[in-house]
Amino acid sequence: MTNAQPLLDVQHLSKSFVIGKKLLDEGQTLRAVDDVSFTLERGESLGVVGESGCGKSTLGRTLLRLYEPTSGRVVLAIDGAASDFSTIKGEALKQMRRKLQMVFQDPSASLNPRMTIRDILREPFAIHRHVPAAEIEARIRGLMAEVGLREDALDRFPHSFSGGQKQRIGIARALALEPDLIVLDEPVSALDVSIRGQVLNLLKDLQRGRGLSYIFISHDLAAVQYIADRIAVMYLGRIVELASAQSFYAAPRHPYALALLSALPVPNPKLRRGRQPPRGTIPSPINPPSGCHFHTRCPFATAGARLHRCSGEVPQLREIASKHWARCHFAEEIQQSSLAVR
Amino acid sequence: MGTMEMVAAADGREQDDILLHIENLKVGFQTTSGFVRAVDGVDLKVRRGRTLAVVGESGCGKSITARSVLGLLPEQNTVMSGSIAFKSRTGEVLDIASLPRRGKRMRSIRGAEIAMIFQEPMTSLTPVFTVGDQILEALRLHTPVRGAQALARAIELLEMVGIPEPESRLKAYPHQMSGGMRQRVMIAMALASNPSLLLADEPTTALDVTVQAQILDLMRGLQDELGMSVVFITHDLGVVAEMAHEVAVIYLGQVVEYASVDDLFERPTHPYTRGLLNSLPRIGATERLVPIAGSVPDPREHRVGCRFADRCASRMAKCDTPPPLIKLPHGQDVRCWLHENEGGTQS
Repeated sequence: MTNAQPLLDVQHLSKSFVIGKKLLDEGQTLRAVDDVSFTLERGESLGVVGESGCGKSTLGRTLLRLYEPTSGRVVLAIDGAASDFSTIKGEALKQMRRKLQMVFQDPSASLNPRMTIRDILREPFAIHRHVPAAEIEARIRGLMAEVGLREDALDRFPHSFSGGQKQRIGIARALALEPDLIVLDEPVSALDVSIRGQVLNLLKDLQRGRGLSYIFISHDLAAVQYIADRIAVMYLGRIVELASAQSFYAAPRHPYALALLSALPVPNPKLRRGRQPPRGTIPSPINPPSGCHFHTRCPFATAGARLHRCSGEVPQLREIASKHWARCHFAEEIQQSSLAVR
Repeated sequence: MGTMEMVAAADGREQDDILLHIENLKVGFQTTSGFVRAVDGVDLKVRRGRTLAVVGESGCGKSITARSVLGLLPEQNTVMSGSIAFKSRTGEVLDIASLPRRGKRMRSIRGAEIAMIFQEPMTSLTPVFTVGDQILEALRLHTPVRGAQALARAIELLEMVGIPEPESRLKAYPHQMSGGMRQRVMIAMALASNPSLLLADEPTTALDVTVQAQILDLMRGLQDELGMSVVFITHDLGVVAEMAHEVAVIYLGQVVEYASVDDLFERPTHPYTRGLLNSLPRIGATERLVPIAGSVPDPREHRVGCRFADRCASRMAKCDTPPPLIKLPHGQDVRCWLHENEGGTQS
């Protein structure tokens, strides 16, 4: 795989929204995704984690051009040819969209309540016409089996299914076009604990069986670890850490990533820690702190020369260890051996 | 035997320690699509200064149980039975379940001796009044402090829950605050009357993980400081491990396991509890998850026998008979026939 082009090559992608624009008022710019770059190999899954407002969902939507990017490129290598997905139009865009699908957080909101499951699953075939009409019914039945639903569910409406079943339908719909990449935006967050495990297993099996690539967006670091090969941590629009899952969970290098991990409640009362959640709350993305966005909450940037640098100079995403990047001036000094025991 | 006699007759110190004792609580709702038995014979004990976590998936009846303690359930089409014995400040033991919910006695308890915080503070705070107004209202309703004293107390409460610049924040409206700050305001309001029992219904579920950690730390600190008891309702076993002294696991309106927090995580015994724990991805673990099969059934379905049987990998013929809550020798209670012969007394 080393010589082959990555499936997805995201270069300096940004997405800004203008808020409060009026006749003579230019409004304010919210940089929801700020100069994000990463690559994704075929069959690989990238976990994008962060708290609300960090830009992880906007990133997912911008990648699929549900939002038009403000700047940057999304180079996709599909069927041996690379093209810039962020600029193509018309039929080429439609063809490319087949290869990129999305599963949303709230399965109730993403399924049309007035369509039967059969109609919902037939729609992708009707739009893209990539399968002869005579085969569609068989394909639909195959999809149902693949996501663990019974065929007799096809004539029912979404309301008669549980949350977990609806999410399976959402996944089946995403699979209908045989995509290469699926963006999963908090796909298990709305589900009960026992159902969450079932859907995570399903996603894992589908990935293995079909060689899919995932971008798995979640705030749940434990669920992300279960699915993802690599992790990107976002804070106020920027990737602050990017590493293999193994390297990340063994030794996170950005203070925010450390804070996220130590804030996570662990289902083991023996491991109740005297932890130090970061101070304060996430600042407004409309007017983020200068320099390193995290410096206002960072336990390492409290005073003196350090604070001066962290508040004055934007840190670059630097390779701290092999294939392990962090956006912190002092990443080399950060260790948290206590996390490894968990 | 009624609750009063139970409490009175019970032996010595352990019982003295019990602030709230729910016995055989049943709550049902008559809906257009049938009768829903939301809570079906729940027994819970809350001890002084301790946290009881009530854990279960959506629809298990955990929130309904808490709401019935405060008489917050809708009056129409609701059928409720059982007893809720609460040891009041005056020393008398009251059966909350039998008190008229709009009566004077109930109002002197609700919000004053027993307070509650909810999942989404935005829907529990009024958007049209300042935070200060709302805290002052709580003080006016539940305490004798008035005027300048009340204002000072409101500032003190905001300080206690870690709100910076409390004096100026009194003038803020809820929408001007972040979710974490609003939850702190909710907690401040709940603490206004120094309640002996705090019911917390998924208080951190809507919050980001770093903010959740702050609120959990705050709640633990406040409990140590004020000595109140907490009923912490959650679906998150991580939060249970962090917060609880005792844990009740609920499935379809019944307690299926009851244990100290250490026992529960060290020796999860009911197949449902074990299934929940096996469903959880954990940092550092790589093995495949073994989630519980199926999903929580419709509570309108009539069920005989064990509620969990149709999802249980250990199902046997006997499961058609409803299992009692069996007391295991080391102090854990479990509602499962697998442990019939290990059991001491049955309740």
